[in-house]
Amino acid sequence: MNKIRKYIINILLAFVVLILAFMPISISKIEEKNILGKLHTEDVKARKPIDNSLTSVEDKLELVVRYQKKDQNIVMIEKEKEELNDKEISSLVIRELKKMQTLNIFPNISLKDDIEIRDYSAQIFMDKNKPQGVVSILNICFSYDKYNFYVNMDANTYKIYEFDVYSKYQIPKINVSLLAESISKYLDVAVDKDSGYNYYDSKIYTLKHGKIKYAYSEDNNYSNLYLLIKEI
Amino acid sequence: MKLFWKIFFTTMIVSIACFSIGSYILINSGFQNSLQREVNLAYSENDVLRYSLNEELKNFSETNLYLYDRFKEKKESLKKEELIRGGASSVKVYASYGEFFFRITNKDLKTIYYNFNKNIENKIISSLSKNVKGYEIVKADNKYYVHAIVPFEIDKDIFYLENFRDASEVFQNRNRQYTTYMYIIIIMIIISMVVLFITSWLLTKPIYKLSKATKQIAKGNFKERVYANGYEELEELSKNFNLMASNLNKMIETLREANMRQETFIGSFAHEIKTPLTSMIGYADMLRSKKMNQENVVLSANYIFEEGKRVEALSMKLLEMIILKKQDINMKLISAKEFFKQVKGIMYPVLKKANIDFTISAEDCILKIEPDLMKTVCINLLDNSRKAICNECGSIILSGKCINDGYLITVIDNGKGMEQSELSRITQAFYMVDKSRARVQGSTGLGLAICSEIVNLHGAIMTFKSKLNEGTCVTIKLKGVDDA
Repeated sequence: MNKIRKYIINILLAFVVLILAFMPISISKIEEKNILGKLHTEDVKARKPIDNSLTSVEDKLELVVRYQKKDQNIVMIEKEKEELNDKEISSLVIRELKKMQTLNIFPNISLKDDIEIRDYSAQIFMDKNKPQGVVSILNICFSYDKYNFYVNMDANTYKIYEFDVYSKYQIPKINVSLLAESISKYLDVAVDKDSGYNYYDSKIYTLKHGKIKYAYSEDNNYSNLYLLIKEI
Repeated sequence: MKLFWKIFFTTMIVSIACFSIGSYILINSGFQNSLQREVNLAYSENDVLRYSLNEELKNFSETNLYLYDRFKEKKESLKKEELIRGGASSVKVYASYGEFFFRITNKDLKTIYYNFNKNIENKIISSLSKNVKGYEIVKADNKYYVHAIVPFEIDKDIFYLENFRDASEVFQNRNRQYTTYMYIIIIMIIISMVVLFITSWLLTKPIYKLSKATKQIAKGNFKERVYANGYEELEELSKNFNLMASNLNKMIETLREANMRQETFIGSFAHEIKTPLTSMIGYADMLRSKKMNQENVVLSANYIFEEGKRVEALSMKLLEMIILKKQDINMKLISAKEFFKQVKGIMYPVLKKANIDFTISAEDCILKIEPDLMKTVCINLLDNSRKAICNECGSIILSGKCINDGYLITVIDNGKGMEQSELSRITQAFYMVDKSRARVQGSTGLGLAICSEIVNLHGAIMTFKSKLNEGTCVTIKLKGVDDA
């Protein structure tokens, strides 16, 4: 009888060990049941108004690049409709492209206001942790004469940050040696001194100590300036 | 419960408990932090959604946000809810992980717009108000979502923007951590069991050895010893155990010897009593049963008297010895010369009559003794010497000498001496070297036993040296006055 009691005590203690070992898993299951469907409330704090003017060009470009680099804190709001009509947009785009041509950023193609807007949309980029600074970009796709254009334009300042022009005909080339200075002048940003180096068939220009990279490439049938995402 | 199992289970329970509690705290705090981060992100996403919606609905006012009335005239005729539905449908918010899911509900819990096809209830909205936002964790299609609800106001009407952030990764992470924990704890239990089993066995092995040895000692095998190595405490314990066993062995031996001495004493006593009683009974029987002449009657009566006197003397000596064993003696200071003078006064006539040359040489000194008892010792020793002398030119020397730490009394005779083997037994009661001769001389065999008791009472040491046919030397080393 005494021996049986000793065995029972040993078995009970072994059970205690097992219970202790698997206790956290059991508690977590119970806790999970308690978490689900339980309402947690708090007061709504006063929201800070969003002010686009606070954002500099470099910051705006950085936001776009961070989103493209899949930064989890950056969100992109896509709007199908925009308050501007096609006419307004085309005149703004032509105005900016001409400005870029004079600064030797855009190929010297003859441009007139009667462009055909094929498609456009608005995108707003925002840092979730810092929603005060946003950048609104208009993606505009249009055709003119024998050329096809795709531009990304700031919806507030109307500056064109990226462009792509292609055609089956010859596209005039720009003076690449002056491009760094031209970008600096057009965007009103400081281009890094050591930029303008070659990467495959592109020229790379960096801003903000390499945080933002612009790539320019051209050929007989295309010419594009775009923000480079991949690390080089 | 055995100590082995106590050590095993106690260590096991404590270590497993510490590990499981520690792991639980670690995993749970990580989980809570991740969940809180997801909640914050859900609120941020809600802010972004509201911003986007506001951008679309700029013609409506929202508390503290953009007042915009550009389209007011155009949209006034339309129902607010339709406008909201129209605005919301044109809003798409993307992050690197995909599109934001949201739902717009009015204060009557009616869903106005949703881009999220999951059956998640919105009853909790009834617990919210204009200035209170909230969230809950919900499970739908085996996925966990943070369901954040923030109120917004359009032309004094309250609407609720609910968004659903997928937090399954947080729960999956926690489950993965618990799975890892489960594997670790199983491995830990197995390793701990093996290690603790060995450790407990090593710890309790010396105790088992001790237990085994104790059983052997209990059985009477006092020579059993334990040798425990490895742990200082157990080595000490085994050392002490062995010491105890050794002392116990000695004590048992002493008791055995004492018992043997007692048995011998009783045997000797019975024998010493029986001998005179036999003679007395024989003579008394003769007087009772036979008619004898006057001379024989007197002779028989004389024998009975003599033997009776011997029994009386024997009983007196025994009484004296018993009293001595229980007595506390009263020490006195006495001059050595005076003491020896008194001894000489008693023994000189006896020894002269026996024609023995008796010499006393004593250095003077103050002795701290019980004079009467010590006199008994000296007289006994001198009388024993007298009895040992059987030749014509016998001599006895009684000397006293001062030494550094006491006083030395020596009795030397040139009697017949005794074998070395006899020396250890001569102080035993009733022991007589030559029994027949001793009885003739009126010895009881108790003299030296009494002397030994007296010497012990004085804290002194009595030693014997003897050579057969050459003589005996007895030395008593008394303590000094200060030490006594």
